[in-house]
Amino acid sequence: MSGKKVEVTGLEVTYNGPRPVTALAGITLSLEQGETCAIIGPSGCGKTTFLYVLAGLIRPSRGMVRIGGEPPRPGWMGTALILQDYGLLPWKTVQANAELGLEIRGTRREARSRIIEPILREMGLWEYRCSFPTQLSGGQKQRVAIARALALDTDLLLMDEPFSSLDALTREELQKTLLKVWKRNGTTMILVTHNIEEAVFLGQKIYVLTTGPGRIKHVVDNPEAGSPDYRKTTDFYRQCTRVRGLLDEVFEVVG
Amino acid sequence: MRKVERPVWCRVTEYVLAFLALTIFWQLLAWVLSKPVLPPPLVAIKALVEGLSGELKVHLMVSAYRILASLAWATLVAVPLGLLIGRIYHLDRLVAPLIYLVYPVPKVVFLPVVLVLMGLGDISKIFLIGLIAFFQILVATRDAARGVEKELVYSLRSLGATQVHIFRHVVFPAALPKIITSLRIALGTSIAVLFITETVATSTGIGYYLMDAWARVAYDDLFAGVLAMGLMGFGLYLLLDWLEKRICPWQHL
Repeated sequence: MSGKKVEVTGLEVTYNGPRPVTALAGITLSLEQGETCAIIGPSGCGKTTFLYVLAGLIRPSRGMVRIGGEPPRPGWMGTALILQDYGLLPWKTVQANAELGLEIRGTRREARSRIIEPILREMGLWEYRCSFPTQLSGGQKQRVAIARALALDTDLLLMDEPFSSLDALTREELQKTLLKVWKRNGTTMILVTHNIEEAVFLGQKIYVLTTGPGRIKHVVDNPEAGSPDYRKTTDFYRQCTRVRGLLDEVFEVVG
Repeated sequence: MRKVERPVWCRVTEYVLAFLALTIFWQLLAWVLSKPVLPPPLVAIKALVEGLSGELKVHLMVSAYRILASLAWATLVAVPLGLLIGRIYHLDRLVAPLIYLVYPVPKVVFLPVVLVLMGLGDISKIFLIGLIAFFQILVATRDAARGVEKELVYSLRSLGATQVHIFRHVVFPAALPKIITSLRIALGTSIAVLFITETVATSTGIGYYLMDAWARVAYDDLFAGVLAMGLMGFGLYLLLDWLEKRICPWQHL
């Protein structure tokens, strides 16, 4: 399956309440099929809100969002959301968690097992299929979340700080796993992160957001992202330094 | 912190030791008081063993049936209602004031009214005991359903889950351990209320047996009844523990 094109024009999200809060304003971006992008910025810049909009969980107050030419809606075939805390259900086993998307979409039990077995094997989770999430390490939990997304034949993968609670080695290993999936399936990927190295390693476009309300302050083209050896090149360090500088600017403005 | 599951023999030993400690305390108290109103434990245990092969067994079965039937109807009504009002804001706004007004009223005061309306049979007792358990289970279930992590709901909604999926896969399992806890609490209250309901206008049940033994000044029978009631409660607690391990295995890793 190839990725989906993502188009966002003039997106604004305001949370209603006694004191309405505008989380995002004037967000315009475009991602081609199979492209990856990283969104980085200070806390409270609306990064997670942006992902929820793309996942169809929050409706835009203004502006237009199109995924593959259509407005997003929750559970859209091919869109998968991976959350910071993995979004795994503690009462379901690894296999049941990984199959959950398929179960919700009405896939029969036998078919679910047929689809999930090779994915769990690829993720090194087959031996843990009867374990519960609390029995897994952080890296393994995140693998289950990725397996659940892959089982849905994902063509748009939305990730909210997916590796933030992992140690450096596990994080790099999972980033490589993700790249492998991306190269094989051509999935469009949008990654929200606090980690500059992660943004540069995975995002072919890097959007630097500022707060109050969240707006795109800078866009960094990063075409080398997605190459497994990119991390060892001087270009990688140069891009990291550049993004760090842009973030410093944003933090200075935010104060 | 993760619970460390102890082996079965270890837990059995703990229960046996606790039973022995209570028995010794009882024996000492019986020696000190030296009055017929507190017979020594061995006398009560002998009366219990004799009773269980005769009349006491029937009373025990009737009481156990009343407790189980009360908890069953209370659970079957309170759990779905608690889940719904915990998740549907407008329904909660409608029902919450009613709960807060009625919950603190000691329902046992309605015993005379319930007996008149529902008769002297099992129905009135099962209704009243269940009514008290109902509120305890309802409030615990509602709070558990309300406290479900938003991220888990988002995670499921992103997979295309409907409200029914969210209730089935997230809200109900998340609330289950708290429902079982509320059942444990309700069980203790139910046994207390059972005693009260069985002391009025009935000739069956442990409550009746205790009052009858008291009237006959048969203190060995009275304590046999107390032990039988304690054993019934203990058995039901064990049943709930077993049930929790079966339906909430992730809580015992």
